[in-house]
Amino acid sequence: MRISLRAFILGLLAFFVFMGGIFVYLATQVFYHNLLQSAPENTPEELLREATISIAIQQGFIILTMLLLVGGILFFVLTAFVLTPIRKLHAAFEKVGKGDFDIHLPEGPKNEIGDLFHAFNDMTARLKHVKEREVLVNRMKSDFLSLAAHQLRTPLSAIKWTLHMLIEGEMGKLTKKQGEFLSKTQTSNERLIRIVNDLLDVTRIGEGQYLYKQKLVSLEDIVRRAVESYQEEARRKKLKIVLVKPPDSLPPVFADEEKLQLAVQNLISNAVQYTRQGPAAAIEVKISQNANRDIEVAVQDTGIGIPDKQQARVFERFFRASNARRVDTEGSGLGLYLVKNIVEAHGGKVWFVSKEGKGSTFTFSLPCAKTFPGS
Amino acid sequence: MAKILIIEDDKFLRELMIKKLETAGYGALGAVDGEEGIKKAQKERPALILLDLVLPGMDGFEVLAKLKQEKATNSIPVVILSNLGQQEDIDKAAQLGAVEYLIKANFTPGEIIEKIKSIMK
Repeated sequence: MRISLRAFILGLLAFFVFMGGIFVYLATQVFYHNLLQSAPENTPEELLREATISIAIQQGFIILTMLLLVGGILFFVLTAFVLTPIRKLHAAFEKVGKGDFDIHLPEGPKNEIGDLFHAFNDMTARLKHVKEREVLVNRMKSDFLSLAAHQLRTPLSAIKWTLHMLIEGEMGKLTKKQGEFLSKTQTSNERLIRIVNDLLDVTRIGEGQYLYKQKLVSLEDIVRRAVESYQEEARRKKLKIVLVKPPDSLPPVFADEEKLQLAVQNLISNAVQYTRQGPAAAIEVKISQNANRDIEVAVQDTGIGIPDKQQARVFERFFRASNARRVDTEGSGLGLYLVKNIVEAHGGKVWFVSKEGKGSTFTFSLPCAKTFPGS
Repeated sequence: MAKILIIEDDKFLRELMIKKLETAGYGALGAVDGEEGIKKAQKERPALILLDLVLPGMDGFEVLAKLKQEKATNSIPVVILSNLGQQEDIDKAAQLGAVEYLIKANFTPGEIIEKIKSIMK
């Protein structure tokens, strides 16, 4: 681009000079021709007048040629020293805008343009450094998270297995009190395992490594199992989870069973965790098919709700509402982030209605499998 | 009495599993790493192998591939019992011929025994 532009300008200049030469030559020819033609019969005055006009025309041509030449040179200088560098800078900035910081402009002589290029090079060097650091920090962060999670799971498994064997009386008979304490320890340990699992999942989502293995599954079965798995914890809090479903069985969905189960469990877990016992306390899990024939799962509680001002941030990673932190110091703030990621990866939607102090209803919908080709 | 081999480098987990298997009425054998595991599998011909993936030296996938290559061991069902649990690990284990993939932290010893029972039926 730059080379062809310069060639064009040089060509233009050569053209001007050539044309100028032709003008000068023609003007001279015209002058002498007129002079010779008019010589015999013309008076000296007339001859002088003719000569003056011819000379004026010739001078006019020469001046015009000079002007064109000067204009051409000016244009060339302007292009070579100002326009081309600006074009270079523009192209370089476009690259930076696209995230490519691997550019170095030739700094050349120390003038305004040279300074500008120098400043630009300083900027890209700094940006490149920041970008490299960011990539490195991100990799370290995810390496650390997954290493920590894997390393944590081994001792957690040992504790889990030991507790189960102790509680089941395989290491000798326990007193009632010992059994109760061990059960509580078990609940804490399960909680810790869930947090570690969530952290691992979140890391994988961040790395784009959270893979889904989809097949035809019954969302009804998934919801029923999730409800059953929290019934015991709810009972300990003197709560009951009610499952509401339509009389006819619903069509299957095309989904990763394990991950969808995790999403439903996270919603129920929140409902149980953030609902205080009382005469009006109720948790309802409802599965139904909406007007679009999508399958909807709604988890309704009479819990602490989400303050209005914090509702926009509910699905953010590591976010926990201020009232939730007061009720329970142990949550990771990852549950709903995972729910949103899982549901959306299945082509579904998740939303909620909540009022602080009254309760929340979290609902997600998934397209049923009939809309999937080939299923 | 059916023999079950557990290849697990963590001593405590190995002992717990051996105890659980013995309580459930199985003959339990332990191996610390892949080399020992393969040797024991060839010599003892267990009815089932519980295999960890993160092992010193040869990793669990290599051990699984070796077990499936050898005539003496290729018909023994192998259950992966690991704390790795990425979909690609699960797929790789299935591809190499593992019958089941259990993440340690997500199963109780009782549930693991249930899985073993249903596989050996």
